[in-house]
Amino acid sequence: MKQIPCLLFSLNKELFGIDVENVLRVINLEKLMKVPKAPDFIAGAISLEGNVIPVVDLAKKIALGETVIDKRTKVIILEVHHHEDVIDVGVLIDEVIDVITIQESKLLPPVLERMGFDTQTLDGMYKVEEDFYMILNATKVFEKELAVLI
Amino acid sequence: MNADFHQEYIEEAKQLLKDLEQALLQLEKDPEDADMINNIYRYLHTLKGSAGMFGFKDVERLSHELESVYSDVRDGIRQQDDFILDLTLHAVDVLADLIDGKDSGKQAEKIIKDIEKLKEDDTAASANHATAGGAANNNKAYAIILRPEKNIYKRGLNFQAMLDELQELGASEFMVHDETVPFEKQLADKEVVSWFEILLASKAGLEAVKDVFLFMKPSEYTVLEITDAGLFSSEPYRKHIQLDAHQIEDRLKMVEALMPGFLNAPEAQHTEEPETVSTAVQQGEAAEEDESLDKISRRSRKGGHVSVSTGKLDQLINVVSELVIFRSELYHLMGGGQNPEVVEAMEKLERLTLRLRDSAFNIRLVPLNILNVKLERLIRSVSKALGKEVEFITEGLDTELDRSMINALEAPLMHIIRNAIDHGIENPEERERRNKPRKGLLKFYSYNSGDHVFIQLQDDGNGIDFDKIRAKGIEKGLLTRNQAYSEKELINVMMAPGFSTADQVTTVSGRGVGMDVVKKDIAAIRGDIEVSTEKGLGSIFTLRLPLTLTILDTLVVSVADNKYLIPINEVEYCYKESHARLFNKKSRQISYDGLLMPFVSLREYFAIEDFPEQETVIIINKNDTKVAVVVDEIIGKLQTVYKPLNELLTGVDCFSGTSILGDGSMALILNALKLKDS
Repeated sequence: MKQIPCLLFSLNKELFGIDVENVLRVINLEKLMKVPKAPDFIAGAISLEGNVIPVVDLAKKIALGETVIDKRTKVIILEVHHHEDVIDVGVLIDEVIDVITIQESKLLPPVLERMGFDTQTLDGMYKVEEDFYMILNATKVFEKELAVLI
Repeated sequence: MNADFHQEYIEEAKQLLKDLEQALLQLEKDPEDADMINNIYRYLHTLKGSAGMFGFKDVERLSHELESVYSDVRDGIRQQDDFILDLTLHAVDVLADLIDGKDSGKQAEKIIKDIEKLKEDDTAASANHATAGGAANNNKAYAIILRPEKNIYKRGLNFQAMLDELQELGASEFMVHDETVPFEKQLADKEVVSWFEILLASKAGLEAVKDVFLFMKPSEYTVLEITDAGLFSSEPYRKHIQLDAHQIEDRLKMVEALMPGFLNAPEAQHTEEPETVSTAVQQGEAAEEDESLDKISRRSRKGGHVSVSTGKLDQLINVVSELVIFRSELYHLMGGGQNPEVVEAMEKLERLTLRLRDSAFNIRLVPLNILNVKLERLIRSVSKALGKEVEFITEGLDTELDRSMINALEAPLMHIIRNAIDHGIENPEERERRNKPRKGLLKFYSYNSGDHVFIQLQDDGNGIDFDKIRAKGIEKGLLTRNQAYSEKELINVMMAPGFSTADQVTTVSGRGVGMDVVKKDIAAIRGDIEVSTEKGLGSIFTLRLPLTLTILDTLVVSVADNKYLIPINEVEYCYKESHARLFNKKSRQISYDGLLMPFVSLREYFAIEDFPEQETVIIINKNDTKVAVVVDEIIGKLQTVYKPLNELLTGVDCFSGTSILGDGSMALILNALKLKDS
């Protein structure tokens, strides 16, 4: 039975999870540089260990609204695999909740309609006690952007 | 099989192929270099061994066949020749493809067939000369005595060319007698006062050797075939040179060196010789077999080199850059620092971090000689294809440049060299008519100066034909018929898009791309190209390149709350202007350098709605395209580390990259040309 360690977090009052395989680290949002002319979902860029990494407004990206940036806003640095390359991308979230191990077999298919956001980006849903967590798939979130790259 | 080992094998095999290629080219220069032949054999042997272990069947087979050829060459059973060299060089390419996982099995098969055919031909040949022994024994030795008259050059003969021709016949030993004036000076002054003795080992017959001196008077040369040691005391030889026993022994040693086996095999044409030789060799081989792997791995360690992936290197540089920034942050946090000991410690930390940064950047620099093999192969194939003879001289190949720069330089350098051989250097016959050596000279030199690297490519060919360029320029509509143009202007036209002077499109140059592409490629790595030429004497192409692409001198400007960087070499002129004066005119043009030009306001471009009263205009000039950009103000100059844009941002083409400033904040680098397009 396949087990997936997942990072659970909240964003715009919704609950999400993402495979820790894709998570490089979580940091507090500091010194966000604006990038004019960038696509709408890009909130800006930050510097991390000498690299400049774009920060994506995840809520906007999956059509869940817009993230209001405040002092508590955090950034998950994701490693998105694309062919041989790994692309680092930061995504804005509200709060980290926990890291748990989920059973792949217990993943529920996502409700496809009337969820109020783009459910194509999910691997499935996972129930922890009374709460449903949407398990995001990093590659699916950036599918369109990756397709343009060679 | 473990994937890591697999990857390691691929890396190792690639290195082996590079070494092999280098050795082959070395061998071409000096076909008698026994060490080189040995090395080639070993490289092939190692390649074969590990290919088998990792399941590269085609690689294993092909290297096995090649190995057998070179083991014959090494043992003197076969003579290394151009055919084998060409075949092996081609095989190196095919092997590289195979290792890269490309489907080149068919090509490998073809080479293997060629090798098999080569062997069959050999067996057939040796059957014909049952007693002749190995191929090496087809060599004959000659003693040649040259006593050219002083006026040889005045008679229109090129003495140097004759000596070169002689050398092409086989291995030779050249001795100058009565060298009252240094030989080089005699050649330079075109006045020969010495006389010469040459020992030659060649497959060519007596007549062929004599043909070299066709234009000399019979009294000026004597060619004697050395059949045995007796020649040096025989009358025809003694007429010119009288030697004592000791000197004769020296001569014999020389002949032996030129033609191994000469001393051991007097008169009677050795019947049992080959067998004893080969058994001896086989024993030696068995011992060597085990050693060969070991030797190569030892060799690669001896130089003290490790190969590191660029990814790891970039990581190191990033962390070091971060450390430098963090140090200044720490300094700020301490608020200047009252404790002198802490201040001193901070200064020490600063020195160390800067040194660390410099060393880290230095690692990225690699010497230019990694290009050498590619260039030599290009010159070899191009000059062969065009029937020209080229001598390639390099100097300063140890000059270091950023690795990414060297990669970017490859194509333009190849193009310039191709052009030089195709258009510059004349045919050997034509060169002789012009009293130039048959071999054209192509010189590559490179040196550091300040924070730039210069690379010069010089040929001693015909120079640039300005009449041809003028005619072509007019034909292409780039020039007007009745106007006089300076040479500089004509050179600029030559580098204009779509210009190529080749009368016919050759397979070598003139494949639709011209010097304009070279110019563009060089500009892309922030370099310049300059051409100087002298009709009939040759041309020099000079490339001026920044030491590294990662360090960038920039002008820091502000627009609203953000800072942006403009590469300083693109900035032509800056001035302040009131917002009203810029925007009030409906035409939205500024006047600069006597011309009206449109401007791009960054605030407007970035959709910011308010403007400062006083703005700053920056005229950017990149590759002769000018753009006027309006920013708030200039903050200062900054040397910074260039970072490419993250993949998610590559669509934002008004920026070419980013950079981290000293205070840890970031700035985007403007790509001014894209502003103009929008």
